[in-house]
Amino acid sequence: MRKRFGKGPWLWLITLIGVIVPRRLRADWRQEWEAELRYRETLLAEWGQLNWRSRLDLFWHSAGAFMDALWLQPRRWEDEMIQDLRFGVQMLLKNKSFTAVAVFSLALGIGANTAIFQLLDAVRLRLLPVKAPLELAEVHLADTKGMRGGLGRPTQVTNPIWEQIRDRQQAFSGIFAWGTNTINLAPGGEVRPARLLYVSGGFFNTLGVPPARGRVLTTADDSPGCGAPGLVISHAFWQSEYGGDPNVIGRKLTLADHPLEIIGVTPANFFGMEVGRSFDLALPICAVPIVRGNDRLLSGIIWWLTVTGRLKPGWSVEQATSQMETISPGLFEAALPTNYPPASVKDYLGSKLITVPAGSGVSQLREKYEQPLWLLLAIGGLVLLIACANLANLLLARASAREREIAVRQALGASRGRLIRQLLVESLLLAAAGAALGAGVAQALGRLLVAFLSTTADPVFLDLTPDWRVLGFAVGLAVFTCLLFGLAPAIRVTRMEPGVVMKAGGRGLTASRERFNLRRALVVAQVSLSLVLVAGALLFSRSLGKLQTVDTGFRQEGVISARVIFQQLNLPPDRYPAFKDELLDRIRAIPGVEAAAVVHEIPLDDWGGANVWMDSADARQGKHTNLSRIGPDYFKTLQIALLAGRDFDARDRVGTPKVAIVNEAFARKFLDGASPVGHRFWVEATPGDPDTPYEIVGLVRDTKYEDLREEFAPIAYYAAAQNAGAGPGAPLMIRSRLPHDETVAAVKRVLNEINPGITVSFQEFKTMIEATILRERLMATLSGFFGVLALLLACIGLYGILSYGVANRTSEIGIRMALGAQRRDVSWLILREALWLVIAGVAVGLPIIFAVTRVAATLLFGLTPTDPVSLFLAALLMLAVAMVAGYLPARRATRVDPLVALRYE
Amino acid sequence: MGKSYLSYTMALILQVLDHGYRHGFDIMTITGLASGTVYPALRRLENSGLVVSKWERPAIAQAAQRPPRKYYEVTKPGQTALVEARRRFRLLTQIEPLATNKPARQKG
Repeated sequence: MRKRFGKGPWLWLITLIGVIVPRRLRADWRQEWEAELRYRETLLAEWGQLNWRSRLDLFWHSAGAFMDALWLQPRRWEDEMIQDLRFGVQMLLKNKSFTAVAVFSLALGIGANTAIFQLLDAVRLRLLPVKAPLELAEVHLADTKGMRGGLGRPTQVTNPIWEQIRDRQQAFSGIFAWGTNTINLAPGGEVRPARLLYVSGGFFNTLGVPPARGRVLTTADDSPGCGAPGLVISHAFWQSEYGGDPNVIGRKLTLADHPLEIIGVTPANFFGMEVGRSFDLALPICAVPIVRGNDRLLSGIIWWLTVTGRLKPGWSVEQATSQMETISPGLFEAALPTNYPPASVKDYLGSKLITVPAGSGVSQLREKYEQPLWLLLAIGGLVLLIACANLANLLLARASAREREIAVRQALGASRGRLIRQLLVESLLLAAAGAALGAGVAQALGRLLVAFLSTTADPVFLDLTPDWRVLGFAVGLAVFTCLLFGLAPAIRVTRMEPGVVMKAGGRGLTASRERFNLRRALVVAQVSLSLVLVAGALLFSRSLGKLQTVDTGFRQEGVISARVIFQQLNLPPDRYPAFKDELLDRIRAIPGVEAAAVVHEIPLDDWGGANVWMDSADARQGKHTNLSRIGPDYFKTLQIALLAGRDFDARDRVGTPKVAIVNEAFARKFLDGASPVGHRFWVEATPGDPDTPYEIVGLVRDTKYEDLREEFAPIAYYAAAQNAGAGPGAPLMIRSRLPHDETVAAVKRVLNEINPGITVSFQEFKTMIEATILRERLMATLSGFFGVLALLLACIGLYGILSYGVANRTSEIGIRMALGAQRRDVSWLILREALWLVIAGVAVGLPIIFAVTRVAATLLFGLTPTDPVSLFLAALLMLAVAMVAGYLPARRATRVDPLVALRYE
Repeated sequence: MGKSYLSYTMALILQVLDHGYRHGFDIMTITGLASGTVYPALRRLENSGLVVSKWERPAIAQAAQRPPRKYYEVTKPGQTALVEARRRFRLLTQIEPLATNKPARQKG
């Protein structure tokens, strides 16, 4: 038989390399290589070829094992990861209360941030759900200087201008115009509003929006004089009105007495061009005459269309703008309406068209809420920071408890990197659990926020399905927070000398000054950040309070607005005034109704203005005043004091000399405060009327006009009955002693008695006003929520460090008490520490407040960003929190039994 | 396991395995590839389910006074992959199968 050989160097090599093979695989691995090498060795010996060359060869082969071992490395990481994960889960389950606090605070922090980000994503970051949205660009006037007439958004144009743009532009491969309005679907009684989208023929084709059913509108549908064309409905409308009936195509829908055929349904994700709103029905622009009257198409003074196009390949927005500028002079020349106010013709002709990117659509919601949302995101970020500081603190405290365990493991050869990794895995688990729970919180909170921003008059529609950006944000937050609160404790705890820790025994005496100071610093940071948030919350809620109690000049309680339309009765226009009077008389006769009046411009909801000048001045000195067309009893309805002269009455009719009532601000601006009654002023010509004189017959108290935040501004009230062109509608305001619902029911009954074909929509005046300060309410509510959260977290942080202090100083307290210290002295010892921490926090926080609250200045009303009352209250609240947090530890300290404490020593 | 194309080396190893060279070192000898290439390739083939590894019976090893050797066998999916690989690498078809059950003898 063969001779037994000693162990060759190649076998040693295998043993050596085997060290880096994952432990799970090591034995098998070594055996495989050893067996192979030994077999080959034996074979060579049998053949008598075991010379130095073949030995070298064997050695060379065994060196290849290194490559093999390297290839198995990922397995090792997998193994360790699973080990770490299992261990992490075990540790977290062992400390249930810690885990609960950590996960809960992270979930709230991550959830709130993600919800706000989701909203921002929907209104600001997302592109329209259409084909290649980045190629879209909007065309509008560079400024509003030359714009006169019925204005919508400053970026809208008249139909004649749109037609000129369409015919002259060269920058776009496809271009379209769109406008919106609300239409009533109910045949009588309370209105059922539907949102109409008027689109030019190229709309759907240019956007690349295919039909979900049937077909969409095309250029062929939009030809002048198209009469009653086909109608496209939105997916949501198809679901809500027709229950998703597959045979909806071909059915008729009656709009303004015209039965229109439904030709198609748009896809579910398409909401039109306006982010925050959706549409129900889409009609070609050529159908406007049958719904809203002919003048809208021909009129050069109604600005209601937004023009958007798809840039030709290779065209930039700048190139498109310069092309628009080139064609502007000729274009406005051609589109100039014949009746344009002479004073404005020059400005009109000098207007320039520009092009701006339109990939994310237009949005009033965005204009109004983008800044508050970014601010709220920053606030939410601070709360998350506080939560992280809190967790870092808790982990540090726990790390002290685990010092021995970690020291032992380090002594047994665990590498520092491995230990840090393992501690981080625990943090990562916490962060992941927090993020998962936070995602749920975010969804719920997001829906709540949308509901918060919606009003009955203007429901908000936002697509909140999480996209990659939102998911990325949440995951990023989780990782970031994990590193933030997990890394420092992990590094710290593994930096200690195992020997020192173990020598110190089980008493944790190693809680070095240094580490305790880090924890203190964390608490101070927490307190200072909380102070910033609490101060912010106080600022916003005080600002809201001021807005809610601001003197409006009128009394809104008990007033409802009722917009009555009697278009469907087809009365001759000369019957309108008498019919309106009859309506008013019947409503005034309702028991409980105190007053009712016609109001075309409801305060804080609708507005109009003109340039006016007094008789003594000339037209060049015209200054702006607000206008309001009202009927008799308006001042009685809103309880606005009539200071001099008379109210409008039956004398003020079409054909009689025009009269006006003005407010005090008007008298101040135009007459230096002199009594205005008897004076005359002129109103600048409009396309419909020449310069017109008005005699002032009354003076009323100042009221808010457009916005609660503004100063009292001049208002000239016209007698609505003197307006010859009034339509078949009566916008009314009614003051009633009855509850809102009863008034609404009574008015509906009366209108139905007069004629069932009358339609009406109601709104509570108070609710309408509240809707104007929704932004302030949002800021106050959310910053208040975050403020409370921050206080709570600061409280937990303070409590943690104070308790730890008491536990650490048990023997000291025992000695003090043995030497005669009173309970009061002992609790003061603890509370003093709390006090110092808060004072330090306030000292750090105040400069931060001064530095950062400036960004909120534009969102505040009646307060400076450094409002002393708010700051003082915030500091006071922090002190109170310190006392609350210190109470339990202080009481525990007074319960220390000196005997027990010293025996322990 | 999704359809993934084998590299030439992997296909070569699979081919010689199929021809009956079942041990890592035999493969090295017959293909001339280095051990640092053959073994990682075997691990990958095994991970992909194209080959399986087995330990030889301890009785055989004991008789030879060495640890049991590991050997590799081509699986069904491995056969399929090999057919495909042969189509791509025509050279593979020219490798001759092991005539006897004897291990390959190293030259030189």
